[in-house]
Amino acid sequence: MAKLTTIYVVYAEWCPHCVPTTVEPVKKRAEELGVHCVLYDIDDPDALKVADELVRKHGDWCEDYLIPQVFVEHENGEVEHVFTGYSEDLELTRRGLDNLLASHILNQHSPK
Amino acid sequence: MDLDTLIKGKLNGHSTCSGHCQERAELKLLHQEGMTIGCYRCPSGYVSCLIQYERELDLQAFKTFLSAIQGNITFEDIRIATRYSWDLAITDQPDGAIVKEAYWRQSYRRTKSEDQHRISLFTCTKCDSFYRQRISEKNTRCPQCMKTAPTMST
Repeated sequence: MAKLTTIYVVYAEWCPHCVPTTVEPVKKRAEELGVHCVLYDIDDPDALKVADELVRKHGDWCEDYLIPQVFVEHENGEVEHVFTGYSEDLELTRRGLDNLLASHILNQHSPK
Repeated sequence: MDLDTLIKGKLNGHSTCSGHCQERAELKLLHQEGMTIGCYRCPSGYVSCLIQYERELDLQAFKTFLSAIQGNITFEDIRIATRYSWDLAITDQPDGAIVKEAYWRQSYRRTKSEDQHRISLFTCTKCDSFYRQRISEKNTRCPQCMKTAPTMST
């Protein structure tokens, strides 16, 4: 598998599943891996356009899509959706994100 | 791992009842119209959220089901999520998508209402069937179970 180059997070400041639950740990992991972390705040109209495109092409798309959604990009340009928040329970989102961070998805194939 | 075991083991959440009371809403798994449906409800039976779980979602079937019990449902009211082996911490299956969820929340976004007497969706605490009544009502059983409930004699 190609090396990881970028992690994208589609989020909103007002969403507890996003901030701090997802955004902070993902930013920290990106720093540790030495890869870019790009945050798309859906309340910023310009970021929303890119976020919509990302979710529509690769993610869990529907008209009023769930946030947060996390994507990874590899050095060959391939983008992969890897996580969506658990709307039913903040604790499930926290646990799911912990599992993602502990998995090979965000631990291997990085430039470092 | 069968779907019910997966849901009970990995997707069994808890939250505060949404829009009705401050009690906990807990998951009850129901099998309806050939679908596996998760119903988050408080002890009074008020439905906060319904979730369709499938390897491949059938959103039309979920919308039809929701429309039958609630009415006035559009695809805009349904939101989806993919659960993967890595976020569910499942290591004994091939990497990738394990299950998908389709969510419907009561009185949310397009259908949100602050009317304290709005007609709302409940499940009967005796037979688990869905029924509608004003949110301010205190009944916890459906009309059928209310009819058959023993009456007090003096």
